[in-house]
Amino acid sequence: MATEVTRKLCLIGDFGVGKTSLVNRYVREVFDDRYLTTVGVKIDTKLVPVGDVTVKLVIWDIAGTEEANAVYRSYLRGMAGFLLVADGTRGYTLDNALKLKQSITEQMGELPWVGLLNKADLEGEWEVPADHPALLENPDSWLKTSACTSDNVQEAFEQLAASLA
Amino acid sequence: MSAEKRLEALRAALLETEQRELEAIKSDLDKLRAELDEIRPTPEHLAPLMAPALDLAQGAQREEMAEALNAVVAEGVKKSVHADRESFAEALSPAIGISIRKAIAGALKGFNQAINQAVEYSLSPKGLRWRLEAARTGVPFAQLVMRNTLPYALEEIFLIHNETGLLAAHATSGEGSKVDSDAVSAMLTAIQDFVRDSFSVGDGQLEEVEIGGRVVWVISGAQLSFAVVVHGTPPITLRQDLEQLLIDMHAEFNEQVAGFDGDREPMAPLLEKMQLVVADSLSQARDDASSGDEEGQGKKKPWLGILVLLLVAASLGWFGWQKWQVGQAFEQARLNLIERDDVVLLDWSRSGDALAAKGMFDPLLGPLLAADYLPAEFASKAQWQFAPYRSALPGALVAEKRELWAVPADVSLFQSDGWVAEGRASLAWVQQMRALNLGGMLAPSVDRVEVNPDEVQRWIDERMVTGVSARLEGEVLMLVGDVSYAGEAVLSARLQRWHREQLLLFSEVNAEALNREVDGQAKRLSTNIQQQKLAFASGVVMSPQGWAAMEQLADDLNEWLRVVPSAEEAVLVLYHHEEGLSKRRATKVKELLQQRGVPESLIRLAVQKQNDNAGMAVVTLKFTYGALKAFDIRL
Ligand SMILES: Nc1nc2c(ncn2[C@@H]2O[C@H](COP(=O)(O)OP(=O)(O)O)[C@@H](O)[C@H]2O)c(=O)[nH]1
Ligand SMILES: [Mg+2]
Repeated sequence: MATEVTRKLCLIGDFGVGKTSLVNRYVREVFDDRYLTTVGVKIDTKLVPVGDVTVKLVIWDIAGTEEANAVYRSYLRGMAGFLLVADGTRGYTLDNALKLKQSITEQMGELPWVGLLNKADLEGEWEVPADHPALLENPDSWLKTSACTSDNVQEAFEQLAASLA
Repeated sequence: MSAEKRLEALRAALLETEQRELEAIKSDLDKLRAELDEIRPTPEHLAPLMAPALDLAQGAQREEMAEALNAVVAEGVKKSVHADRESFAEALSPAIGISIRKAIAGALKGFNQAINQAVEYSLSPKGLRWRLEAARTGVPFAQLVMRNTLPYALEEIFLIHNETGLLAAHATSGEGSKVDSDAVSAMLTAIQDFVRDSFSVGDGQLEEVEIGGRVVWVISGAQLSFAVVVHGTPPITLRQDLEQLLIDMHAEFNEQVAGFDGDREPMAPLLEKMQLVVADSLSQARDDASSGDEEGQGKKKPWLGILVLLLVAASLGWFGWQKWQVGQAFEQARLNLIERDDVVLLDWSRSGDALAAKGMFDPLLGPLLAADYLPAEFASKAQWQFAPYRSALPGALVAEKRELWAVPADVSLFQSDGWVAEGRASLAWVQQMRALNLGGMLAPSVDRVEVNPDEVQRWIDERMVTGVSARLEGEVLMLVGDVSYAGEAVLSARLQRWHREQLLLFSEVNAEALNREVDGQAKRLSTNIQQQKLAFASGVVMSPQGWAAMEQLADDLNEWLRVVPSAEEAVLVLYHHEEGLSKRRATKVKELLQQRGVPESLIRLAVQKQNDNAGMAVVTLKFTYGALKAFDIRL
């Protein structure tokens, strides 16, 4: 095994759940509000040491989730794993995320993933119950994150990186 | 026997058999050779052996065989082309067609490039300098352009894994670019996908991008692609060479290519090949560059920093500015749309100019019309399906309340310990809000709403009783004019209602300047009453004049009670002596007045101490009343 490998990972989830903010937080440690490129993808990279290997994450932040859209599917092509992001203050974003995950699994097979319930700083508006079936099913795969306070952001990316090394 | 002879004899004895066999084989071999010389192999003999024989041929043998076959095959092809051109062309076209097309396209591209540059340079300062130089030296301008533009440098080659967009190898001519080559690689892949999806131009491949004096070529292979960054004008053959290199690499390193998973170590031999090409072009370029291009290798780093950003615009430019703008217009519309907090976008799909947008919006936060978001030519074609819903956003709540209470445009509405309206509004609206609040319905406080004073005055004027006018001074309602006592009653009731229902806000009524008929009436009546002479004829029987006076007194008292509201303060005193007829007469008058409807409370009997006119036949009276309250209404 080489000492450095590169891996493609994608952020999957509804518009506005905080994908871009999470990447910005992780990659640059700056909380930047809105970022969209014309092509609907923003790419960042980050080196993560995993054991004696360094994984270079090539992070694809994709705007929108139009599943029917061919270009959306082509953006996912070849990813080694993905972060599934939902907004904890809007329960339906979790349902949508689970649907996306399902269709990804159908098309690309089982891939390593980590689930993020983002906006954990907004406790008062929290909607997703702790005993949501999806969370009970894979308790270790879900993290409550906040791009606002940085909570669990690095952990989420690195948990996924560890399963991609 | 010598020792030698003995050894010979021993050997003969020992090897005799072998010797004989050897001789037998020799003669067999001679015979076989003779036979073989006579045999001529027929095709039937050879046919089954050809294929295995060709397969078995190895190394030098194989080469010999190829050489031997070469002339024959060439001759054969020549003959068959002559004999059956059609089917031969058909058989070859899949292979040759592609290369021909590519070669022609490449050549045209190069040609165009040269022409473009000639045109461009002919107009630029540099071009003018060359023109002068051409005039001075007699060298043709075109030749000068070619000489000055030909130098090129192959700066970088990215080898990109098509499926993942990961960088498989990266060869550079210098220290490499500042930009993260892994990010460039992924971005280029994304752009390719985007371009392929967004434009149906040919097979939708982005092949070339020009940017800041560089050309970025994208050369696609089955599993790997090259992105090549060239500075200057490369020879046409460079692209072809790279296309070939990519094909060769696929073939030669099939295993590494197929197994690529983001680990670059196994790709080292591919990198080596790419590095060679770069180094090669570098030396070639250096040879050519002797004629001097001022912008040499020195300043080559910062440009890649903006490559990724500009690449988007440039690649789209390649496919048509127009289409890009269409895309931009739609994208801008989408961004504007989702700017609205209430808008929930459920679908946004576009094919060409036709858009299908679906979602929800809160009508309280404003209408959502395609025409407001899209240019007219697209708006009419768009399927624009937005269903209304209640968003419960703060803005929506305010909007909802504004609608509920018909808050005028000049009035702002906000929450601060309940709803508060502030601004300018009509009196009618303010009155309705006060009425809602009085009725126990939640309505905004309008204490901070200003109403035009002229409008208030008009409202008052329309409702004043004749002869009276009123004016609001702060919290005091000033009344002026003459008012009948009937009008006064009406006015009083009216002002009480205005106050009670807060149709006008005042805490006091000032009627000092109001001439009231009541005051005049009271004076007249009290004078009349005072003048009556209640004369008796004899005993308790009144004289005819006295009787008439009593009747008049009763009428006047009753009138008083009717017109003067503060009647309880008035009193009619009838005087009499201690005892006897005088008292009986006064009592009689009281009785007669009561019989005529005058309340007992109004009449009082009192003893007159003076005794000077004992036996008088007239009951003396006195009518008093307290100061009449100046227009007293209970607010
Ligand atoms: N309070 C809070 N807001 C967040 C958080 N993450 C993102 N946001 C906000 O949510 C909105 C959408 O975020 P964005 O990163 O653009 O979402 P994306 O569409 O999934 O990329 C932005 O206004 C962010 O500021 C978070 O952890 N906490
Ligand atoms: Mg985003």
